[in-house]
Amino acid sequence: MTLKKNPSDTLIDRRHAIKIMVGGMASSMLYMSSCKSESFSNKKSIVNSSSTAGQVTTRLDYKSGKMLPLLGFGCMRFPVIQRGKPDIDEEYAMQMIDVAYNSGVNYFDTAWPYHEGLSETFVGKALKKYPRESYFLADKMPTWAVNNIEDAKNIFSQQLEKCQVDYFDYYLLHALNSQSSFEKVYEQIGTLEFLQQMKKEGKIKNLGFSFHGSVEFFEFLLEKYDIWDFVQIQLNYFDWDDARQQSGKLYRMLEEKNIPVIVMEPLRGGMLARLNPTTEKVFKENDPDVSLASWAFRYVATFPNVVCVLSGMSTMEHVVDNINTFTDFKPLDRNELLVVNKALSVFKEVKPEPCTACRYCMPCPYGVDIPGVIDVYNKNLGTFNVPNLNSPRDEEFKRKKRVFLNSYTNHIDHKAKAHRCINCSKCVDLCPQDIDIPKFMRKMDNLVASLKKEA
Amino acid sequence: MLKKFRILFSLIFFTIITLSFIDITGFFRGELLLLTKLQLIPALISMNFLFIALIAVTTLIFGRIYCSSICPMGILQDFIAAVSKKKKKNRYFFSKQKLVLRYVVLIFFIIALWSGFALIPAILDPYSLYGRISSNIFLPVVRLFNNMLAYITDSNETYYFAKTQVFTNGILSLIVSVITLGIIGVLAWIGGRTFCNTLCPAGTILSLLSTKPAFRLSIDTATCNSCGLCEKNCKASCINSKHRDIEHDRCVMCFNCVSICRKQAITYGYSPLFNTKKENEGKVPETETGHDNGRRMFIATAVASSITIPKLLAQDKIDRLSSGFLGDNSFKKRKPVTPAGSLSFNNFTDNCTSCHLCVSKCKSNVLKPAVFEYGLEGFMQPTLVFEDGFCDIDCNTCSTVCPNGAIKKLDHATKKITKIGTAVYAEANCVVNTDDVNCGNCARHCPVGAIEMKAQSTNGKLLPVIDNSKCIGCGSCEYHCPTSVYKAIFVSGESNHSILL
Repeated sequence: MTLKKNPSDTLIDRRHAIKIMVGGMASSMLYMSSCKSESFSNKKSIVNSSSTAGQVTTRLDYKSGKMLPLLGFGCMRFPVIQRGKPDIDEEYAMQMIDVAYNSGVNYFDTAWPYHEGLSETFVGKALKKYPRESYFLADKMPTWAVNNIEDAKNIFSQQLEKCQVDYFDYYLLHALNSQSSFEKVYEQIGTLEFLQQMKKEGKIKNLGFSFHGSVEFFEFLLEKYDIWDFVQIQLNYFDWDDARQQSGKLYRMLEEKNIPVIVMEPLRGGMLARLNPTTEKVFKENDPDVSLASWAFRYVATFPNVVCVLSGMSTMEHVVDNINTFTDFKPLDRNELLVVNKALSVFKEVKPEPCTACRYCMPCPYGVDIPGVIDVYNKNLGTFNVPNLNSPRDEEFKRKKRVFLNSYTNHIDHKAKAHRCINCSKCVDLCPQDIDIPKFMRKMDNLVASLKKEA
Repeated sequence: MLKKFRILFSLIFFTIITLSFIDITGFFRGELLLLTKLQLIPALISMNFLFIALIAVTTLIFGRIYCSSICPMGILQDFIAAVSKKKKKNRYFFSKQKLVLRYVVLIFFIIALWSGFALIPAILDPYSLYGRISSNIFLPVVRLFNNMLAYITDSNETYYFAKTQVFTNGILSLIVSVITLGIIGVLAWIGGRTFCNTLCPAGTILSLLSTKPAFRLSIDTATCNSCGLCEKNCKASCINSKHRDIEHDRCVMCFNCVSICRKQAITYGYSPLFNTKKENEGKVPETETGHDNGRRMFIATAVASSITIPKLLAQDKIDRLSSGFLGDNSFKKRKPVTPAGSLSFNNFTDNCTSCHLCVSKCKSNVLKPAVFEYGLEGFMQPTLVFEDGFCDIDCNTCSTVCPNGAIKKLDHATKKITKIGTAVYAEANCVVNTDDVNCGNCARHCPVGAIEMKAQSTNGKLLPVIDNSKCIGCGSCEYHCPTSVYKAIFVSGESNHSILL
């Protein structure tokens, strides 16, 4: 007997259809408005003449002897067809990759879980037309998915196949965050040995790891092994002194060990490109013409031991803006560093949840759109629109309440909201930023419930 | 002049009643919904003697003003008829009164009402028919528009509008309303007020009162040249121009004849009750005319199909529901939950004519038209479905809007302690057992604290225990339960609502 569909499914299908209809209308409206938007039209000329435009600055990876572009293309945040779904808008993403490649951005960083597995396949398809030696491709071993050595071998050979290449220029142990899982997966199971074997066979040119753990664990990795050709760490002006990330410490340790640094999360999942109005003012007072993102990029690339800065670009505007930032790259001078520090102190006052929208927590088994809910909260925090329940119920409170509740309703499906979180805590171990997601969901749920009650 | 007044009043009343159904801002409440209570059938069912007397006296004095300006279904038919008149002028003709059909329908209606078989009143009551059309067709259009505005205010981040679900009433209710609108529309397009003078029980009752209203239309036989223009423009088909006769019981007071008569031979004014002699002067005696069998067939088919088609569709849904068994299916055996204020299952199902005003007004999207939860006779009557929301403990909207008295008014304090159902726990479906996780989402969201996580599961985790003396049946637990096919905790309706102390 085949299971028939729950009757409510068919009803939802219809609702869905309507939603898509409305969505279609609206997105076409949005599309029209975005075409008109200034940021795009100003830089359109650069898109068109990208092949002849300036090339991004390069830096020497002194371990491999290759010149790496200072800007690398992160393949975790490609444009998608539908918000919240992994399917890549391939035509648009392909154009972005072409523009980037033609400006010298020839480092591409993909991984097993990105776009729920679709990223590797797409990158393979997109890069096929370029000579293999003209670009650098980085891929990673999904630490959490390896239960025995066969898993590791299977995954590695599948990755080569999906990316349609014979070797990876850079290969990483993905998201190391605890010594116990490292010892189990890489030492006991023997995955590290296998990867070193692959390096000997030439299927891996440079071996490194990406890191989300404690300073002690980091020290352990650098002391015990001297095999690392590079290390990828989360580095940005928000995390440099951050008590949890301690990016500054990690960077100094790598500098001491003479290991080149590749930077991930330079914008902290886009957070540093948005900031909030008061922080934005600090930057705009100094230079009204450049983007907030460019400050964050220039900050990390100012460190001399950084050889490549990854950016998960989602629109052509991102690509163009980043190429502008990294063409004839100028490090931040002393005054500019002071501006960044001032902005940071202003920004840290609002205490956003440190989510980078990496989506490692997804899919939530009970349907909560975790990064989506956090994003709504953070954005409202940034624009000071999270109502404080202790404040007087004046017009300003009503406005905040409207913006907060309506942005929540309009961006998050009602079956993906915080009240759906049952506290199973499966996401807690998956979050590289150590966010207590169930606790946050509780806070959000309670806030929304008490605001709605007042209506 | 009279016609213009009629149109003006109709437009005002129609707009207010329609807004009562499609307003999504919450502005239309309380006294503004008075017009929905001034409807004949709801007033009869709720025994609102003041409004019954008002309508009756008005009809005795002025004729069926109710049908022309207060009944929204009548006005909707006038709209359709006005469009059809643009296509083809002078399209109507006198037809003989279908008394047998009218009385049979009325008798059926009364028997059904008396015996509590509410489906027949629901199908025949013009106000309920219009209510369902508004709630199922017009309201989604308004919501669609609202959602488009929401997209615009989202893009400039002002967030003035919140997106809503467009279709909340389910596909069956929508289909029924579309069919209703289709049938009534065709009838109105062809014959004007055919529905009002054949099937409509309100029309038939008011006909009985308006055989000779004190103020009525009369044809001045001296000036009338029997041109027949009045007959061709009479939506009620009640003017026999050959005999210079108006059948007042079918006249719906549209005054089209008064304004179209080139001789000003038709006037509206006081006429003494017993002057039949004078009135019959100049009239040509009646002759037998043939029955309009085709039309009768059409009406019979229309009525039959409006009953059977939804039934067939409903059967399909039931079939799908009964297959696909996963886990403890006691959820299927639950009793339907009626809204707070309905006092008991019987009071609600006997008196509700499914106008869907409460469904339109329900902010939590929890009141939805039933399929077969109440049995065939309760098809389309609202019931609480905890799929898109749960009953807000602080909300008493549905109890304040019901024109039929199927949901009696509750104040906020009473609503909070009215027990409409009981939560039932089906341990086998609970995620604590099936997924081996901690949950407690039901207990966390219970507004009255009736659920505690204190029972031990075999895996050492906590299971909910329901305190029935506290549970009011709001369905928050069912809505928040993360199980997908059969809920591990759900609300079963109470046959008789009680007040918890």
